[in-house]
Amino acid sequence: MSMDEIKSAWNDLNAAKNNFSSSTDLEIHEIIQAKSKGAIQKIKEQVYLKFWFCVFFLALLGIYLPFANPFISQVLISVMVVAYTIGSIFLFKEYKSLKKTMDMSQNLLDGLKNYRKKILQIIKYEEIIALILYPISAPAGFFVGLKFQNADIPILESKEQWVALILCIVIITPAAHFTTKWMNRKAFGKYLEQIEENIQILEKE
Amino acid sequence: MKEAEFIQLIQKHTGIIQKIIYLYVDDPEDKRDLQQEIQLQAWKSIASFQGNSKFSTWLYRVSLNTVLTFKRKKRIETSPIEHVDSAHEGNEKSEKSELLLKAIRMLNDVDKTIITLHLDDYNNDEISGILGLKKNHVAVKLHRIKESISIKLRAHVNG
Repeated sequence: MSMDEIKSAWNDLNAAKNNFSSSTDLEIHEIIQAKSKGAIQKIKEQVYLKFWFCVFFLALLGIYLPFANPFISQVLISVMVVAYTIGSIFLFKEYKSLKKTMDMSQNLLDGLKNYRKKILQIIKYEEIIALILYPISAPAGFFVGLKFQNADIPILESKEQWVALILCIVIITPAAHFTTKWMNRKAFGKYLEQIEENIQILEKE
Repeated sequence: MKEAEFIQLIQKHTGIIQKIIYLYVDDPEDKRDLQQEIQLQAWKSIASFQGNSKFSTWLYRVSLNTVLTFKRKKRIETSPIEHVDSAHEGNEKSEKSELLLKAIRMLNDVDKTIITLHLDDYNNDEISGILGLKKNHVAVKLHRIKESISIKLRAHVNG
């Protein structure tokens, strides 16, 4: 098939496929008022939920803090408050960055690069949050839980409890980091590969 | 631009959206979602349409950016052409068109974009503007794609 034949076949095809039924005024009106079904919108919704989850726990800890007893519990809860505050700030920053509308009319190469940049930025935020929030809040939560169960249990007064706390942090920190990395790879790996592949093809001379 | 004017333009150029969806997506749910997503993204980006270029060119950009950044459930497989639609058997012209479409659908996303724009009469300058490539880069790629399509079609005819 020569190029002229290809061109002629394409025109035939266009003629055949030009009977597309277009959406009605009402359908288009509803579509442009609806939420996006793109990847960024889905991530945005998840981040929004995580942010309010963080704020809720922050408020709860803030209320409990003045009543915590003994002093070491107050210290632990304060550490959790700091961790949740930092986590909330990062989640809010992530949400703000996701809220910015992307210009989808830019050229394809720039569009793909900017999209990839945005997704990688989100992944970075997620990893920072995982490094700050989970290693601190998990062991601290464990001790606060112990206090809830029995207020008379002395906290961090024995060597074993300190060892348990340090071990907990040492294990949870890399575990949280690698779990987040794994989850991000699972959630975005193939998708990012697909974008990366197209960028490489576009850039290849 | 007012909503009514936008709706009219989208309806007028619905062929662009449909063609892109047809070439890039297989999954019915993806097809429905993408059609809506392209219209939504076009509306969100409408402020960037200054009227300097044709609306069709602008819509092509939005549609391509949307389809290539959409998390597609399934990508179109790049397997050899095995058969054409039996509905068109006996009609040589339709068979040629279907074969061509299959050959184009089998190309990678970028090559598919370049040849589609070329066949839709966009010149190399316009294609390079839409894709963000150098003009001579487009010409080289176009040459390779044409060869690749011809090989695929010849392989089908001979095999």
